[in-house]
Amino acid sequence: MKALLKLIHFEVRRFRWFLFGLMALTALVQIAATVIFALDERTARLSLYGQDLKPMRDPMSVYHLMTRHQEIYALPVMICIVSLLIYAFVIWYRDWLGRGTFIYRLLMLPQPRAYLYLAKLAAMLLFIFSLLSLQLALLLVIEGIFSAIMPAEFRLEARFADLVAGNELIAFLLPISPKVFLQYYGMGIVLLLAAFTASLLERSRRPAGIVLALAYAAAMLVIPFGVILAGATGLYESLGLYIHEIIWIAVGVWLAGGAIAAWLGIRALNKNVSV
Amino acid sequence: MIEILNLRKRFFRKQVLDGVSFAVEPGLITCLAGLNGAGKSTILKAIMGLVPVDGGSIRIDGRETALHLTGNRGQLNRYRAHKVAFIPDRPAMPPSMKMRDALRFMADFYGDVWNGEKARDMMAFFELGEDERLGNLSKGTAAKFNLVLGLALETPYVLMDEPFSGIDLFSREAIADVFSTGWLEGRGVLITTHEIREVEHLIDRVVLLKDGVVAKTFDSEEMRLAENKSIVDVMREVYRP
Repeated sequence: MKALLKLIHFEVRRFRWFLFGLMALTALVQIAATVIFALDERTARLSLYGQDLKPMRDPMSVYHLMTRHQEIYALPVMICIVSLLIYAFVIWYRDWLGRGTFIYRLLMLPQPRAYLYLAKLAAMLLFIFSLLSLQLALLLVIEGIFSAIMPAEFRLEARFADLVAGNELIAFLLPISPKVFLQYYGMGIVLLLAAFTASLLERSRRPAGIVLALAYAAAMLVIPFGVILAGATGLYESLGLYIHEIIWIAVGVWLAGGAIAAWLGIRALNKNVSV
Repeated sequence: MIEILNLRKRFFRKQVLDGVSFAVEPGLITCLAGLNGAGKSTILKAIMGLVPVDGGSIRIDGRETALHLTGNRGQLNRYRAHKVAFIPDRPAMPPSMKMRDALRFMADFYGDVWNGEKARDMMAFFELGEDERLGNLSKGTAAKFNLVLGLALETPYVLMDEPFSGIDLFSREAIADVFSTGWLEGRGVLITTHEIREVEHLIDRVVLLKDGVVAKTFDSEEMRLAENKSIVDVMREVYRP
């Protein structure tokens, strides 16, 4: 267990500067956008109404500000998502490729190889949830900055839920409902496991492994998403299934997909990968 | 003893190993020789579980460790790491890592197998500092540091893959000196090298690979005494008949 924690720590350290970079970029863009847009709005109102600051004249909240400038607030979040998607593959390939042969060392460590898989998975989850936490904190900071810039006469208070809803992408990433949150992140973890497994399958049967990995990735996309999309085709209604039965089928398929991905990945790591 | 029995490995259409058998005994330095592509490095990697083989057996002190027969379940990685140290042809560490961090990494993960004192002695022997990044090291310095990482592991067996590859004369001499020190005392060593002359006088046994099989195995000292032939002479006979 101690070795697993050390491996997780090691993986996090290797990505830390990039992670800090993503965090800094997100913070910088969103804070700068809030300052610039809030100042613009204030200037516009002050020039329009002069010193005639009557209460609640054309008021706005930070929610409105974020809604009006969706793309600016979403841009760094999108960059973070794409970076993490790429890193889900790079986290394995960086050990194989390049001048070093670090994968030799990792595979030879006196710990079960499954620890490598778990450490990389845990590191990825830590990155994802660190960025999410930062985004949550940033929403509060943005709200504070907006309140500081915008005179109270022009300002509406926003609830935290409104802040989250202010940007469609952020609202998607931070669903208020715990059930939806579990659903999204459960699916995300299964897809992450599938990405790991596809990488390890490719590393196991070179050069034909690329075909195997692509076939596996296709199956992992078609089957679990097919179960969800089948609902739209009316298949379940024609089979006479109730909604809770459909949900359980989907949950079962996704859980099975995750379990198979983890099993296949760890098996490849134990028996088939080659340096 | 490391026993390699009937090892088979195919890469695409080429049968690289086609029933290779030999043993590495404790206290002896065994040289695995062959032309380029003969499968020498593959055998070393297979012993460490870094390359799966298609058939055959790899027993380390009596315990089966071949991936296709055992996988890496349970404590096998631990067992192997306690028995065998592998020194590949390049340091198996990220190039961005400093030597100090690499030593700390080894101490952290290898625990009781890692001998920090020996590592410090070897760093001093090779006159290596600890602050440089591995990616910035010259080939010679990287080879020396690589040796430190491998030999400071207290294992009964050591595998060395081309320790002299692409390095200058003085670094080669410094590395060859390691064989004369006590750091390899009592350990079973399996070495692959094209620079046979550097270590010829230190090698106890030679295994010559040709066409996927062991073409000849001999005791180098006996060969010298009985037939007055060096290892290179025998290699010429085998590879240039």
